[in-house]
Amino acid sequence: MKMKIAASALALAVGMTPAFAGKDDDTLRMAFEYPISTVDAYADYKPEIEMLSQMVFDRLVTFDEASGEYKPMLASAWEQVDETTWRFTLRDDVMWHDGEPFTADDIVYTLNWIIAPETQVRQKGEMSWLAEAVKVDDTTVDLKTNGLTANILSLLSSGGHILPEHIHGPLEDKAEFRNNLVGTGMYEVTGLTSDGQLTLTANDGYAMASDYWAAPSIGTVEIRAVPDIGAQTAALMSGDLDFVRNARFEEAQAIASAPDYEVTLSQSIAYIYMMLDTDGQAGQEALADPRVRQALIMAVDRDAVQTSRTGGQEPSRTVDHLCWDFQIDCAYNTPIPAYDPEGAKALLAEAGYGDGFSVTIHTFNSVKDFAEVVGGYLSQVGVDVEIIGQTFAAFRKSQADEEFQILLAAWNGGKGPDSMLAFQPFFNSDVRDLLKDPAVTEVNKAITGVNVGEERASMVAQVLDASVEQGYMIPISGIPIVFLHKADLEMNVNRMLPYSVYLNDFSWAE
Amino acid sequence: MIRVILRRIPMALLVALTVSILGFALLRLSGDLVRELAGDTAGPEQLAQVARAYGLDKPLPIQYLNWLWDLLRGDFGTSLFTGEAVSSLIATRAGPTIILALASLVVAVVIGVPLGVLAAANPNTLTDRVIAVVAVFGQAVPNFWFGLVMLVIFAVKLKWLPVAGDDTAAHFVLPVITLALSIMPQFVRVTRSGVLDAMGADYIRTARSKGIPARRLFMRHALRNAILPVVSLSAVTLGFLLGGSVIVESVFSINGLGLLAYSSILSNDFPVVQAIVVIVSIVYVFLTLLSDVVNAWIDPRLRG
Repeated sequence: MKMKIAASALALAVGMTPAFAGKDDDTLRMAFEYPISTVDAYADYKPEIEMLSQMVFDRLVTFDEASGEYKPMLASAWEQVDETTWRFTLRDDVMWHDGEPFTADDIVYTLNWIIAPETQVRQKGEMSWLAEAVKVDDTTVDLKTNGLTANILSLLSSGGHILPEHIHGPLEDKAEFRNNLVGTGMYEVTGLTSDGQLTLTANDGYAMASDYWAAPSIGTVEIRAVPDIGAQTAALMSGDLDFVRNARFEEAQAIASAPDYEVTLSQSIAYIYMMLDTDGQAGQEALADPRVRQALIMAVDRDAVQTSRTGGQEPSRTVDHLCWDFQIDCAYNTPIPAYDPEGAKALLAEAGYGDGFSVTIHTFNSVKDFAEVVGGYLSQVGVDVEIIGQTFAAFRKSQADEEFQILLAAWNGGKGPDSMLAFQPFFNSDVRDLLKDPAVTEVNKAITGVNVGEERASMVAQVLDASVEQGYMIPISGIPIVFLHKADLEMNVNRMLPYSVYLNDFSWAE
Repeated sequence: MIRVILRRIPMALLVALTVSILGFALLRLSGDLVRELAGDTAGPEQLAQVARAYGLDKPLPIQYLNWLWDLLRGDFGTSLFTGEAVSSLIATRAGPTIILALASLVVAVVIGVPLGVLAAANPNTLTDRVIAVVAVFGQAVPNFWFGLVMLVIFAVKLKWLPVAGDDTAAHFVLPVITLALSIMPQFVRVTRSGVLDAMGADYIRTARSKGIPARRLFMRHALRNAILPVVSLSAVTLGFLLGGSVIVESVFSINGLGLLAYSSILSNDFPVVQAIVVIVSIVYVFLTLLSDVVNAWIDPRLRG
């Protein structure tokens, strides 16, 4: 109701010409839903800040989605010296935004600071494979790992941005780094106000621009906080913003009927999954029967669910299993059962639940609409569904208390190019794992110690096949991201990060 | 008057302390803070390390006493997620909320009280009914809808006012009107009923029979008594407004306390939420105390 009223109000303004075009002054104006306090994702790990981190800072390597290969960034070359040592040769032509040269000391400082016991950053878990970073010389660094880590390049390409040792190191209170955000990246921070408005300016001397990591096309980027999507849309139409991310599809379509605006659909690497309580401990014993779980999976029309937010418009890519097909070693033999409501009813009857049963679906408030669609399908095969929407914090509490009968949640897809990042956390026999199958857990953990290739792909397939065969966990849908933007703004979308687009993906139309 | 203040202060402190205990307990029980801080991929060792680092491995009463001790020394702690001092976060965000709250209250009182008096002076007439319709509209119309309509008309279409932000006085015009419209009806109703009650009271009849002029009778006797509930309502409303209006701050992109509280609750940023709860409750209690004192000053009968 609230959305419809807002859409109606905003529809009044359709047809108006933007007052001020960002193209004229080469300034991209955009909004986040909250004030920005930093661009350093170690201090604030929100998806938007992670994207900004990759713009202002750099990583050792990057993953080129077009070729499917890792490519140089701060490291020009690398090799695995032995089972627990990776050697990185660094570029010698990189400068920090303040003019100081980038060296091996910066790598060693940053990575060792992250893993230090006294450091409290959320990325610590993602770097738990690292035992120590050791400087060999000014342009060579060895990373010592805690055992063989097959996905080290994936982890380094999706996170681990490098900080300036000469600025960050001496700070007693690391939060003060927000006052001097110096990086090596394609954009420099030229303004960050106390009320959270950020100005970035293109780094003309950016050394790492290449055919796989484009130099920024737009000279200045201004980001401000506009929490409400309706207000963002109003700001777009008054010329204060150049695009709205996460616009409501129907509203965006209505506004884009005017020639000044366009809608671009994107998918991030994130997806929505459905997880079932396999031992019935959360209060619904029916779920302990594998036939019941299979029936519930068969009852859901995944193709319809994934177009539910986009008025039936097909997504730009679909998630066919617990990893995306572009992720390395994403392999499986058992596909997810097709939508078959009659087959589902027959299975439920065979299991003795022909008259249905009651079940709860826990979900994040942000994706509750997906849960409602899934709940609708389950009710069509006789299952009485109660949907429990939660904030993320409350979700964590319910997770710890093992309250999930069915969980329908959003997941960041591992945020990296390696498939194991996408599914591994759900098969570790810890609080996130509702399957807790020792055999699957053993294979899942062993994958980490096997190098990329056929053997590892077959191990991945064992885990993913078990997930489907045991009716434990399946992907339900990608998460469509609707961009409503000015017609003179062009963008590449579908990037492999939760925000789904980098700043160097934007350009002005000719 | 001093006696009135001294009698109220212990109760006020007790209320603030109770709110802080309840807030602390509810916040801690609302989510798994350790896992939230440690991240998705944290193992048992990292979870234990995070719990130790943030003092979350101690029993809840000990955690509360530690927090209270820091608070008494003026240390609100740091945001669990950005590392910023909570006091500086709140100081940054309080400004826009205070401006919005005070301006909205002033507008609501300046318009609402005269309308209430006008309605009471002309009971059951067309004037009274028109004012009642305005009041009902103000109360019934949803903030977010009215705010968005105002945005579209005055910011997007006419371009008289800015769309979003809190940089200049112009940025506050639409949010103040939106918020004032929603609180004004209470002042209209309270003033109208207060004046009507007062005008029907025995002492007014007595004064009228003594030949006191109607204008003086109304201003000196009736309005003085009718204004008591308006003072109390103003204090309560201001306390409510200073807690931040999430919807209005959200629609008009005002980076105030309401939005800070909302985003901190969503991310379970415990120190920030707890500090806001305590500060707002103290302000609320203080304003209630102030309204008691003002009422006692206006009406000597309340000093007993």
